[in-house]
Parts: sequence; C-alpha cells; structure tokens
Amino acid sequence: MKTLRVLDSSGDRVVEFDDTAAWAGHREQAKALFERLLAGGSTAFKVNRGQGMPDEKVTDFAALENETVVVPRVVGG
Amino acid sequence: MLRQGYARFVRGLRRRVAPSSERTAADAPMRQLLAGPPLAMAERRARDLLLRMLSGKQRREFELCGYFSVEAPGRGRFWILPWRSLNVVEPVTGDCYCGMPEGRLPVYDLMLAQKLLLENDPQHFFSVANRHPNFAQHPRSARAAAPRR
Repeated sequence: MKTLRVLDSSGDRVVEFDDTAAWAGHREQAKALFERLLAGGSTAFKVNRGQGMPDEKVTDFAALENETVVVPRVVGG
Repeated sequence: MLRQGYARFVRGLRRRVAPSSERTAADAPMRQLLAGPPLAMAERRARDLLLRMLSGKQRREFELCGYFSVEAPGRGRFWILPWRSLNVVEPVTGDCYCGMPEGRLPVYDLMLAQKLLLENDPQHFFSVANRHPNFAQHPRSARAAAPRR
C-alpha cells in the first residue's frame, strides 16, 4: 500500500493506492491528483524510505514509494 | 543570547498551538478565539506528522526547544521556528527567510514543508522566499526603518 499525503488546512489529506489490479481505480485517481497538484506548482517528496535513505524530491508518479508528502505551491511571505 | 530569546518566544507560542490536552485552563479563552476545535485538531494531526518526519536529533531539539535545525545542502544550517512568517532563520547571520505554502496550513505543516524544501530542494525555497537581512538580531530597528503606509 502506498500513501500520498497532501498538506492542507485539515493537517493532511491521505490518498492510498496500490499497484495491484484490485486497486487500479484508486491508483488512477491518485495519479490524476498527483499530476494535477504538481502542474499547479506543488512539490512532492518521498519520505520514510527505510534503510536510512534520505527523503527525496519526486516528480514522476511511477517513482513513488511507500509514503509521499505533497507540499502546496510555495510563495514568498 | 539569540537562542535564549527564541526559546522564550517559542514557549509562549507553543502554549497557543499545543494540542488542547497540553493547555492550561488559563489558555481557554485564547484557544476559543484563535483556534477553534477544527484548527486544534488539524494542528494536532500536523504535529504528529511532523514528529514522525523529523530525524532523531531534530525531534529531540523540537521537543526541547520548540524548533529544530536543518542542513540545506550548499547553504548551511537553518532554524525552523513555529510561527508563520520570517520563521526560517540563519543562526550565523540572523537573516530571516519567509517562504510558505499557499493556503492556511497548520503551523506544524508549514514547518514540515520548509524542512522538506530546505533539505531536498533548497534552490526552489530560496528562489521564492523573501529574505530579511539581519532581522533576527535587530527586529525593532528593521521594522522602524521599513516604510510606513
């Protein structure tokens, strides 16, 4: 099971999906959401990767691992 | 000196944004005014997520002081403080940076977003963040010098 966490005013919105056929619908929804968010200026990071691997910026849905955090578009304050 | 000042300021802020179970009765009116139940719940959720994402060293620092340090590759060390603007501080220079995600995120989500950006995509953060030179060491003089509208 893979998790996409989109930071928002509620804390974060969680979308779960899997690569198996049974979860194909969820996977397509997650992919559409991921691509829409990144097209809008959000940035995604692979986190909690295990084995001491550092977090990493990701732009390709196929490269997502177990957990991904999506940060909304950043602006200067 | 700078660190002590931040620690004192952060303690006050922590009371305002801490989960309701950690607040005292004296905080109740402020809690209702500033952060209704939905926001308190969002802050708690964001705090749990932040704690899970911090390294062991960062978690200890955050639990002790209310803020934590990050290493931005090629840029050095920065403190991320728990407030909404000018909360990324370069301790060596006192320069403050203000760059935040769009939308009204809980403050702990804001800190998490800044941590991820500084550690993994610092060029992007510094390309959009506004820099206030030496602001942390001379905030009053900096404000006084700012043009009034």
